[in-house]
Amino acid sequence: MAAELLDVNHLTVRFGGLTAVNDVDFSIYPDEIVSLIGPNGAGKTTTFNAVTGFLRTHAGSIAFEGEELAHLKPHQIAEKGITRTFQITSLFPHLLVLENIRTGRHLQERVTLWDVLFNTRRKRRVEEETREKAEDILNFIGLVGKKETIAASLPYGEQRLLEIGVALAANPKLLLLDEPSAGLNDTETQGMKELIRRMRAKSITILLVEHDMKLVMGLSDRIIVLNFGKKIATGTPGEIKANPEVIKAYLGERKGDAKR
Amino acid sequence: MSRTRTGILLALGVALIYPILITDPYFLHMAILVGIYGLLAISLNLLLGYTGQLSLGHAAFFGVGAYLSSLLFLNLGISMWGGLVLALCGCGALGFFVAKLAFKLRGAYFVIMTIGIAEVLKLVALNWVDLTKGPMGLTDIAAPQISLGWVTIDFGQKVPYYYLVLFFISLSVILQHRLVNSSFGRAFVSIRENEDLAESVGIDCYKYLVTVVIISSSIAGIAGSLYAHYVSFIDPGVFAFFISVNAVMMAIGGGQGTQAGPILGAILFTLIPEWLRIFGDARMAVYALIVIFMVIFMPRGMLYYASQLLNLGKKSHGR
Repeated sequence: MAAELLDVNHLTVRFGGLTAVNDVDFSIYPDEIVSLIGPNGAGKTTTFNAVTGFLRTHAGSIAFEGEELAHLKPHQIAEKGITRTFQITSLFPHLLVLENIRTGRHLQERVTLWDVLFNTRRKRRVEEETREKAEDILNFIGLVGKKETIAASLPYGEQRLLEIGVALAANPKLLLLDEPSAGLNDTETQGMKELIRRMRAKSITILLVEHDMKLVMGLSDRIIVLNFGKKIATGTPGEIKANPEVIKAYLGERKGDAKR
Repeated sequence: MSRTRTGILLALGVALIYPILITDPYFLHMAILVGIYGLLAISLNLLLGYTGQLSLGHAAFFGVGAYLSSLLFLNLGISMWGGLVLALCGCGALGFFVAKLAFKLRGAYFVIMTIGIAEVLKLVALNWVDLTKGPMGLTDIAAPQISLGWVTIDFGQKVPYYYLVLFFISLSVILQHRLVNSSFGRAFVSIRENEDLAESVGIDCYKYLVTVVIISSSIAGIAGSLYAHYVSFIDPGVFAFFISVNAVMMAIGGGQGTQAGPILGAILFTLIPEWLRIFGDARMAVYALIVIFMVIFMPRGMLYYASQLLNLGKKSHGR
């Protein structure tokens, strides 16, 4: 197997006295689709926030391509090649769809203040490049017809697509999607599933937090299960479905089975 | 977009022939003040309109620009040209340090910090009597002359000074236009729109906030320097809270986050208090009522409502 893209070891995040993520280990390999599942409050989003630098970790390491991320800021982690979407739809709401994508391309635009103030040839070339690449991304996510629409006035399903577009614009190697299908109807969920597959085909590794089990089982190469901040299982969709620990976490246990 | 271009050229054309059409020194005086406060409003709008950070202490940079330039002239005999350069660099440097400190905070904390910085500088100007003459203020801050062989341009005269201010306004409008339509401008706006998302795609928000304050404070410094050499007298009143608030009203009332808004705001909020002189002692009360009315009924700024009027029946989009 290839070297890990992301290697998380003994990750621990606390909020005051509450340990939200407790000594969690997992690895993600290039070109995989991996899902992180678990009941509400299991620590899935907290893990996302720790990996992307939005939360400080209290112990453990997060290595991306062998580099430690734990003390980097979110924008530095994006620079290394990890981008994300958020659980609650998160866009630049008053900007046009096209502008949302162009903003997402920030890391690819290497211009100095000098270039901007003197409108150098390099600056104009970079602008042109960004415009073209933004069109490509809009084509890819299927919103090219809406590029002159204000982001906030898009229907909900399209806002979720645009979110992914913004994250894609930053040219990630690893993309973290936080409940991409939440609130989508069946057709839209199907579209999302295809989009995730097409991203993987472009060599973008995907880590997914998702509650829609049909989507998770149909899409994932591997699944990691968290419960109360601890990893309780990891394996292929088939293995996870058959795992008694996982079933217990999701459905609870009968009173008579309780050991404590 | 051609409509915008026509608008800009028209405005520039009017501004260029204004002193020829209107020779009354009072109206020329008002136009120069509009220009100086317009620079301050443009400077504040870069911060407030684009990155969404409210500063209620922008007079700090205006005042430092005014004092630096005046002291340089009075103590070392260096003309306004040197003063403008020093005001630009000095205020830029001050902006750098202030921003480094202030952007550890956001929201209400940031606002309070900006007020504090302006007040502290006002107290320095009031109490460092050896240097600033305290509340007595500095007098005889002259404007320079340029000799071009057979003609001498005296910037102590209103018409040359008008064109000087117009030059700086045009320069900052071009600068602002280039900034806004670049990855820098998009980074500024992304902070206003959604700071977390901006960070998540690799935008170093702190760095861009510091950058925008350096640019903004440099322009405010220029405005202060131009003000001092125009009125030829300054006192610690250049740090007044009222000046900061006025800049905010100009940016918001004209149209924050738009390129022409602050200039429109500067025209309105410089002229309205003048028109209100007919109300005598009640002038400022009426002024306050007008401000409240505008904020409630025209929250998007005059520019937006003016363009709506021009576009009657036509669908417009964008901010």
